[in-house]
Parts: sequence; structure tokens; C-alpha cells
Amino acid sequence: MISTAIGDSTTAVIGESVLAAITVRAATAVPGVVRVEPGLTGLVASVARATRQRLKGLDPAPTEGVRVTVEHDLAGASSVRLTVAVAVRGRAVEIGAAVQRAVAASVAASAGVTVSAVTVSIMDIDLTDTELDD
Amino acid sequence: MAAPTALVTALLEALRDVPGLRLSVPTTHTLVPVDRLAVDIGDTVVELRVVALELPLPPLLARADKALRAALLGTAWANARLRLVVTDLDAAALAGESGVTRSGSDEPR
Repeated sequence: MISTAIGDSTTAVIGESVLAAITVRAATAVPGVVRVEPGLTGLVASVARATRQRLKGLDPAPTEGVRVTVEHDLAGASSVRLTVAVAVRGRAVEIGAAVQRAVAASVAASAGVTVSAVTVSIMDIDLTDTELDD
Repeated sequence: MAAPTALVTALLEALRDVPGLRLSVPTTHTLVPVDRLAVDIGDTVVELRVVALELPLPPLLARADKALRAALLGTAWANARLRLVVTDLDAAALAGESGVTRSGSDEPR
């Protein structure tokens, strides 16, 4: 959970799953990103979360493939790690850097939270996706 | 001084007037009205847990803060710290934004 002040005596506490969902949205909108890769552990956790939320009548925003870490000993600094697959025609380093910028900007704009680091791992290059979105 | 039960009711009613937020309650069945489980009232802190149905969060939470502060006025918790905990994000929050792509599936783009 990440805390941010709203007013003099009100604090907003943003859950990791909220930031993860915003991160997924931002990353997948970057040209050259084919998908976010959840991995087996992330997939299982995501299914469990989605099941809990649907029992409550909610349609949870996807968070698969993203891990948000909050370093409580560093004044609440938060970092985001995500794993993506990119298109074969894209330059992986440039796509990764674009994802970093997009995630940081989107989290700040949508959640009012500044992330200290965005780590992007490229797990796969999709050979079937030869067209880069512009 | 409002009794906590009445205060919880007032806070829940105030939050219902804030579109874009929904109470975050445990997945459980109890004899207690389940919405009340989204509210904790301490001596100096009032906490509400919510799910966001829209973005961005800062203006949404500012509207919630204003509505909830109005409900706290005149009670013993008028000067209490307010904690708004956003536990999750509904897919509806992302649906209305441009450039949004659903992910987490293996569907080709």
C-alpha cells in the first residue's frame, strides 16, 4: 500500500493491485508491446484475485505480469516490475524505455503516486507480430 | 456526539453520493450488513475501504474526502484523520480511456 496526502488530515492509501492495473494499461498501450507476461505464479495469484472480486460483483482490472513493491524504509518509495513480450520488428531496448516512461507517467497521472523505479523485463519476442503500432 | 453506528450509516450514505467509488467489503457472509465492514472508526482515525470505478484517483478521492468530511461535521470525529484505502480497480475504470488495451491474455493484437 502506498500513502499519499489528499488534504491536511486526509490520506489516500493506494493498493498495489490498483497500481498494477494502471501499469498494465500503460504498458500495453506502448507500440511494440504485444502483451504483458504474467508467468505461472502471477497467473495463479491473478485468478484468485479475480475470483474474489467477482464474488463481490466486481470486474477487476487486469494486473497479470506486474509486481508493485513498496519500500517502507525509504519514505514509502515504490517500484514497479513488469514482464512483457515485444514485437519482433521493434527495438527491445527502445520499447522497454518507452514502457518505463509510459508507466511512470500513467501512475503519476492516474493515481497521484510517483514511482521510484520501473523495471521492465522482456520475456519474449513475438515472431508472429511483425507490425509495430504507431 | 454521534454513536459510531449512526456515523457509519452517515459515512456510507455520503459515499453513495460519490460516483466512481464502491465500497470494498470482504468476501464473506455475516449477519452484519456487509457494507459496514468497509468502515473502521477509531478514536482519532476514520478509515473507509473502496474500489475505484474511474480514474484519475486524485480528483475522485478529493470528492470523497469532501463528502465524508461533511458527514463527520458535528460529530466527535470532526477532526479525525481520514484514511481512504483504494483496495482495487474495477475494469470499468479503464474502459472509458483512450488508448486502453486489455491485456493479460494471449490474444494477438
